[in-house]
Amino acid sequence: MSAVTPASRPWSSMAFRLALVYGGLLLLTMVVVLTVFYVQMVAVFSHRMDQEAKLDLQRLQQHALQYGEASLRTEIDRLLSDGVDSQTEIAILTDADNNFLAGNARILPRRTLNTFGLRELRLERHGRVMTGRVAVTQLPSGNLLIVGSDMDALEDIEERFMNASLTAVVIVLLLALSGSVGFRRLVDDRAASIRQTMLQVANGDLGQRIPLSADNDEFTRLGHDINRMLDQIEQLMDGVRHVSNTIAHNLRTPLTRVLLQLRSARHLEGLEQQRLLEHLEQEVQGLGTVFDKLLQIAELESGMRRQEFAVVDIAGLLADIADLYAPVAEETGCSLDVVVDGHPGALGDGDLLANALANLVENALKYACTAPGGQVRISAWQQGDMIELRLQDNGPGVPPQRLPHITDRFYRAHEHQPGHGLGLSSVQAIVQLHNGSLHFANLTPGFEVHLRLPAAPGAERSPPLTPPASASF
Amino acid sequence: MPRFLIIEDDTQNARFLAEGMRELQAEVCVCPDGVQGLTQAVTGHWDAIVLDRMLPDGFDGIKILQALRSMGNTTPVLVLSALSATDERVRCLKAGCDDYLTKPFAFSELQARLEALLRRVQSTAPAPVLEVGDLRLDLLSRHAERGGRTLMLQPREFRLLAFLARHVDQTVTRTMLLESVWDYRFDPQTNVIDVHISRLRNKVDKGFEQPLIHTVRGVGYCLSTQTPAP
Repeated sequence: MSAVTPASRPWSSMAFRLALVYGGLLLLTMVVVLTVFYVQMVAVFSHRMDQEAKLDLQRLQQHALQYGEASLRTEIDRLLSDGVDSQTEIAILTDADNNFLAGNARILPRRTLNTFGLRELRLERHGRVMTGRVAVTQLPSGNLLIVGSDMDALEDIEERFMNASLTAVVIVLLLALSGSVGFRRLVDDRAASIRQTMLQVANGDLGQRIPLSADNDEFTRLGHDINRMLDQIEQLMDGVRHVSNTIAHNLRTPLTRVLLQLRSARHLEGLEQQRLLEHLEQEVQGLGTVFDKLLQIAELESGMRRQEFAVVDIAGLLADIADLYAPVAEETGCSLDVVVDGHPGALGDGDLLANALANLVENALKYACTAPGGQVRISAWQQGDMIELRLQDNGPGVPPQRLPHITDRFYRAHEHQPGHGLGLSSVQAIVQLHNGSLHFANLTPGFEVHLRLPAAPGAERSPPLTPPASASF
Repeated sequence: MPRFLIIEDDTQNARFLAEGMRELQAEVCVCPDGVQGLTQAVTGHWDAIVLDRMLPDGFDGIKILQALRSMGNTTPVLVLSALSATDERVRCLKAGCDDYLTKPFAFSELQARLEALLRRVQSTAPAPVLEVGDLRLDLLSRHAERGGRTLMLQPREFRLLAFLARHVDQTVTRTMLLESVWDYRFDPQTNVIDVHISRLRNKVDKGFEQPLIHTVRGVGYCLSTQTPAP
């Protein structure tokens, strides 16, 4: 017996793999979102810086045109000292040879600028070297005006963003991993209770059931289904055990009887011995009959005989049965009547159907026709694609609590009557082989057997060969 | 003296069968396997062959039967089988056997069926008129009379009597009657055949000094002008 162990390697656990893959997907999504966010943010930020630089440049240019360059220098100083953006803003006025005239920074290295418009420029401000995003233009005097802002702020934001993102990624990775391990343990625990039960069942303890939790999740439902299956199997096993027990009982008891009587036959002589031996022969033949019946039922239940099915004329069959059994009824002053409406034909085996009907009629005769006045009445007709057969008698019926068991093998509703308790089992097996149904009911007074058989396809369309048979014997 | 060949691998069973048949003044030969059995069946002259359905070495009853029939041998064959399924029976009949008996069986049943087989060979074409003592049956006009007095028989009763008359002096079992007269193959649990015979007896034997229909205890019935030995 191998104990229920969790999967040995983490990767072999489905829950672990699923959680991990899910974590990976989450991480990927996050990276994509952050990247998009980052690109958008940087773009917006630099665009704004560019716009500001361009606007300031235009304004200062305008100022220079209006009030002359001298006024421009004071305007630059005023701009730089107004306390707005003073940490980042840059404004420089140089001559064409890049000699400093006014402003808060110097261009590095000292060189002549020949690209104008928006650009990045290395600058030195308050003794610190940095990159500035600037707009450059040449004034009519040939001097260069440079306005813009320090890119350090942007770079700072970029750095912070990167750090935050990395931290988030690491946290997500850790969460995904620990989540996977957690999920795996959770699923393992749930699966383990199922596997534990299955293992016990496999070892022969059919009474075990999977403990079910209150919530209606997948495992509970799976457990519920398995429990139902186990119920069914247990019931079938009980049935098989019951059948084997009854078979053993019903074969062993007469065998024991025969053996004992054989012993006593040794001590007898002449006619007495002869009689006992004849009796024993009958006992053994009875055993053979029980055996044959059991085999027949088993054969019928396996459905092997369906290939030989042909259309069976129910009216003809019932007429034969009546012909065979009516004299038996008359013996005790009873009657057996058959009424057939139309010309129903069933797809089946004539011998088997005759056997089933003979069994039912014999039962009815046995219980209803013990005294004069007993009546057995069989009626048959076709309804839709089913043939309905009703067999009614005015006998004592069957005690209601015994009714559900009368088709069980070896079950005998009337124990004082002779019989093996196999008749109705074989009727049931024959009806099932024909895909029909069999119902029993008590009448007041009497007993009714209701048998339904599928009609042979096309049989109901053929016109009756003889007028509706109504025979009375 | 009739000569029977028994092909049966169960030696005990075969011995009992042989003893039973010898008691009936028959000459019996037993073969325990298929090859030997077929050789005997072809070379000897037999009135009937009792053949076991299942024999060792894969050379079973059906194969022997087919081989025998394909050689044009028409000796009546009765198959004994432990297989009770109807399709088994049909298979054997198709292969050319004349009768089929399921194990376990009473020896009397086998005896009755063997006698019927012998009779069938002797009278292949049934006479249109059967006569047993003063009983006379006209099979064409379906008329029955005894001692010149017409018997009022129902159609089924006529068939029953005709079957008994065809097997005159021979015991027929209840199963044989149900098979031949009603053409159904099943075991009735009640004494249904007895009731029919008793009604027939009322019409045939009542008012006559000598009964023609006799009960053979534990086996069946016999139509005869003599009382059969018990």
